[in-house]
Amino acid sequence: MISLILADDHQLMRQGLSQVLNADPELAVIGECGDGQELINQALKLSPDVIVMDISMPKMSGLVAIDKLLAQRPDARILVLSMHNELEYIETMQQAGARGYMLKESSADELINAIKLVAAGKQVFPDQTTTDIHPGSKSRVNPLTALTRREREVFFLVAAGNTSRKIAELLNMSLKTAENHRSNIYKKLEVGSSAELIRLAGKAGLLE
Amino acid sequence: MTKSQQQLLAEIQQQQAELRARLDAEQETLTHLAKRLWAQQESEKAKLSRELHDGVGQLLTGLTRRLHGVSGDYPELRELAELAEMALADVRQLSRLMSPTILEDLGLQPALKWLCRSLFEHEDMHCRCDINIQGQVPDDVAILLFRITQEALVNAIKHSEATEVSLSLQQHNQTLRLDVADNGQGYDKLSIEPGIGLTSMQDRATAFGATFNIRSRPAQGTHITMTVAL
Repeated sequence: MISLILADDHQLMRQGLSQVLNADPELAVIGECGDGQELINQALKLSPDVIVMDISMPKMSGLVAIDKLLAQRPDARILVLSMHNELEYIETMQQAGARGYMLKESSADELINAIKLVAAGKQVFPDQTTTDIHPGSKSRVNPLTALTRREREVFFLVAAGNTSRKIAELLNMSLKTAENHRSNIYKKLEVGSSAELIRLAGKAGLLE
Repeated sequence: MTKSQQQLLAEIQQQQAELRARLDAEQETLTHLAKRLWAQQESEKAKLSRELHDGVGQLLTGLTRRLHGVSGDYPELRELAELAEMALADVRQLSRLMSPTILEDLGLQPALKWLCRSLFEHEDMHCRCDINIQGQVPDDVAILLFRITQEALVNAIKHSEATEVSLSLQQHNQTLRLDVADNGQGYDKLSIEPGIGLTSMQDRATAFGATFNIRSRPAQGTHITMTVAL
């Protein structure tokens, strides 16, 4: 049986989490707290196998709490559960001595799995090359300079939300030609979908 | 000097001292007021940021999930879901820049690294970030440094046409020195009217007793320096 303490300043979140974790026969929540100071007190008193904690908490932030806790219990196993997917959060928590980092949007199974791994002495951190992906574009470059005249026509029709079939009809070309133009434009502008193209057009001020 | 002259001199000196004391007191009141104004502005930004995050942000989260749910084999619906997702990412980013919770959560060093990375990741310029500070920085100084850096970096992105921007924050005993420099087109200080951004950086630094300096010449980039006591 793996004993747990949960620390999160949102009571509803804590209660929901507690229910989900207690439903697993190998896990038992033995303490809950709403701020960093309370977490330290409980962790020292109850010595849980794993501490599952948020970062943003009143009275004492999660980062300070980890520091203080590890100063007194260097072997404490801490799994951070946070809404922040930025690289800097993950790195800072890892450097501070947390054994794992999970996003609040993870599924219950993923979280339970991570808790068991941390309890077994493993580290669980997201693949940092894939975190904080924010689809974007080269905002300061006019995308049209890379395109031919015909491609520009197609570009504006795609940006206006037209399908390849509709574009073929409007520009009096075959569907295959329209699709070719479209895929050349995507390649030149390094976008993967019309949604990205619309975003790029918006950023360059090319939408009406 | 006659006795009456000596008396007159003493009176003048006393008046001068009183005037200086009044001036100092008023200066202090003004500084205090300026600090309160900045604090007020930060708390309003934080409120708006929360509203964006919890209001529009939640709606967009709902919309994205619904669209993903119904899109199935329809490419057009999948694209709509993707657009909604991008709008959500933009709203979150805006909300984070308005009120950088990372500063509160992790401190100045990770917050500045995040600022650099998130502002430049889609730009054609490279940002080098070198931060070397020991121990804790008081909250009001941390937010001052963060906001000045943010303004300086955004200015570089918008106006400099640079290829390289460097951000450096170094600690020398009880002083922090911030440098933001770019290799862009620079400007002639005499020929441009300082805009709201530049004036506000200067005002904000002054309110905290920091020294603030901008060096720029056409074709020679722009270099902003601020030093502030801890």
